[in-house]
Amino acid sequence: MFLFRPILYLQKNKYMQKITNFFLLGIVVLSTISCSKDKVGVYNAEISNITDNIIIATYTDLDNKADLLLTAVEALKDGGATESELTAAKEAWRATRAPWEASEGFLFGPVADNEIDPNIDTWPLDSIGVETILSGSDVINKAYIDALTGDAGTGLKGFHAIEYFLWGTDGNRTAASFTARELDYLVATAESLKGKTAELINAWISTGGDFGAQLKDNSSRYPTEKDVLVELAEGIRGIAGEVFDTKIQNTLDGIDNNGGDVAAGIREEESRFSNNTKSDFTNNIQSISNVYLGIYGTGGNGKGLSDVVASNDAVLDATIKAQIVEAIEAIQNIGGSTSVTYSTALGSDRASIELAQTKVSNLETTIRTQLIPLINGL
Amino acid sequence: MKNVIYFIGICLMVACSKDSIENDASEEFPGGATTYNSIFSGSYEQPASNLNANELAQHASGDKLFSNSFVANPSTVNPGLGPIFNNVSCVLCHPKNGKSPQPFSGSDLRGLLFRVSIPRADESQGPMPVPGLGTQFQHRAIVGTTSEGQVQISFQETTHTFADGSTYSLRKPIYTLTSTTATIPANMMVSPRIAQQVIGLGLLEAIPESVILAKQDINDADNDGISGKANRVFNPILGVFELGRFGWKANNATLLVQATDAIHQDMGVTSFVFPQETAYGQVQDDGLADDPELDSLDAIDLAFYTQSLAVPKRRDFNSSSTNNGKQIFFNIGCNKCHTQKYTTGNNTAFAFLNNQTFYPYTDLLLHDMGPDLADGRPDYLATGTEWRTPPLWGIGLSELVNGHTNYLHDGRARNLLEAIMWHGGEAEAQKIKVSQLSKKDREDLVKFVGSL
Repeated sequence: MFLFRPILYLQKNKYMQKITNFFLLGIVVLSTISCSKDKVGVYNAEISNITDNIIIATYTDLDNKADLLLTAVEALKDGGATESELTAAKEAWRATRAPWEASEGFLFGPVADNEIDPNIDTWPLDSIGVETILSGSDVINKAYIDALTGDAGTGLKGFHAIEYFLWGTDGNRTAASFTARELDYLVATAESLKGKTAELINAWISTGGDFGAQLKDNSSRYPTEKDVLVELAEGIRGIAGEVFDTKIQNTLDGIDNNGGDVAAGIREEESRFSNNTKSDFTNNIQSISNVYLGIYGTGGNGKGLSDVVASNDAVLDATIKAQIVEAIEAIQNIGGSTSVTYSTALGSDRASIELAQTKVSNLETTIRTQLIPLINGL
Repeated sequence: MKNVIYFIGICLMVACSKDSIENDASEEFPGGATTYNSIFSGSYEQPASNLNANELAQHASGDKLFSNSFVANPSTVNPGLGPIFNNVSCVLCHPKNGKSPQPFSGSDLRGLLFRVSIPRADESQGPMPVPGLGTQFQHRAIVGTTSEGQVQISFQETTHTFADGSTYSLRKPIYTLTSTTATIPANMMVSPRIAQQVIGLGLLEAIPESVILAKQDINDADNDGISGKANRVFNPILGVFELGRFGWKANNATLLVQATDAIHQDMGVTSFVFPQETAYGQVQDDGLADDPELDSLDAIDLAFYTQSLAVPKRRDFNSSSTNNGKQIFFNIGCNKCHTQKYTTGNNTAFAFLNNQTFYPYTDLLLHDMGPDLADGRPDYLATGTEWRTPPLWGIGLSELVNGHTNYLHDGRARNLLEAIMWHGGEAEAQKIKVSQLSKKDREDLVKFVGSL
């Protein structure tokens, strides 16, 4: 055991410094050759595919869909709102929601650093604040919404504000019921959303902030491939935990086998106005699938975290794949069929929600207790 | 000297071993058994690794509250925001439980807020509120209410030189507060403070008071230029003055007071500890008889969340450059305030904090940091030039967690080296020693601090 010994750094002369540097250099070289566990280049293909064809592809999709959503609500505003325009806007909202929820398996980097998430997905909606604005006389446009909400986070804009306008609190919104100020607000907040999704994708692409390079190339954030793989694995663990332990659990608190306060559970539901909650959760688990399998829709070359696992522990790889499928199936089967809403199931079929919760929890447990230790041990 | 280097080299060549040089193996796990093993962007957000199922459940309840966005009353979900506030959730000031970057604009302050007060004869009684503003400047308000005002930020940049001739620059923010709802008195004192990372706080709370007080040297009896003074602050729960441990000036006694104070002042959410709205008696007062807005058990869960967060494992804790930096850190005397190591006994508030050896690198005492860092606003026993030694654990993960390397009480330092070079006052001698280091040694020192 080498004992700590005081070293007189401040009295070192230049000659000694050169000797020191020489030997320190030698140590660095030796460390790199013989001691390093950094598998430089071993998982380049997986990291590149996940970065470019999963993460950047998801954000590209999100930004494109947000653009279509803006177009749809502008159509609703222009020349009198019609039912078909309202229906189209609702579909555009769901279409935008899907890639956003499918991005929650990788909530690191610009989406967090630049406060994109709190700018577009703050929950709950501050409906009191929204109604106060609507009953006032200020001109409502994007600049107004952005300034009003200050830094970020106030529940006055984003997905849930748009949802509130398009569906109303009871899901029975009609095109004829929109006031001019509501339409102004709706377009302004959709514009704000689109601005943030553009900022997000721009932060990742090579012609913009190029955050993707921090994953793929040497960077101070992620000095080794292992650092990236841990980030990715912890990211999918995080959303699995969020779904079963927060998003689902919050709706179940206070509800038991005898019923309980179902209304309180519904109030805790993420996308309750649009009844999109099951889709939200499905897409959350889909984001795990995408990162794990290296496939995004028809894109991606299939190089994902699965490759890293399979070469070390084929049984674990098969377990994770099966548990992803089981979790998605259980979520879609909440209430007994895909057509039953989450709100309805809270009152009628709590067991199906608990089953889905268990399936997601099982997946989280496997990721936490087996996948992450495996990657940390690379 | 030569022998030492040879020896390190031989050890590495022969053994490739982490045990062959001078680190205690436990130093890789700065939070003892609470330490979380993965290093990633969420490293500050993990429950202590040694929680039992019940503790994990309470941690999760507190986690939800820490993440909650509060909205204006009356609301069926997360009510209580405002009427005046700085932010709408804990996490927005403590992003990923870390720190937000230094702001450039008063319209985007993120985690930065301003404590205000006017002078009083006996500052040890605590800051005297400013009429119409209280002790904190809330720059935002719920819809339909006017905030306490706005902040403008400008900068002064100065260039300095290391002994080896290379230069560095320090950028000092200048803040101007304006209000339309109150008259700002000419003698108002303003203290900018950025929200801190929240890891490992339970362990800091578990350090016996006697251990902290034993490190005091108020009159510098040992003539090393460093004093060290404990703050004594009011604990509204017990109605007594106690040792202050938390906050930039050690201005809160316990994590329950810290958490309820933050949710009260920063978000306007009242609790059993602080049952009166921050806007009480001001033009922004909502007049609602709905206080306290936060359930008492929720307040306790919120505090528990901060008590039960893990400290992340150290990254690159045993490389040669890190170890060189470590020796410099101790040789220079940084550890005189940044106390390396503590142990807890078997009678802390929570079983998971018992019998831990941990490495926060703080003495939790107040030190004069010189005029350049001074806020000029006393806070109980803390003078206008004194700050509490902040813990250094986890500090190097700032870029990974939050995408920036801004440090100090308002984020003014743009990297760890600047943070070191901002030191003055009691740390002036240490700063001068750092400025005399070779480039390599400076880099190693920064590398060591970044590895904590």
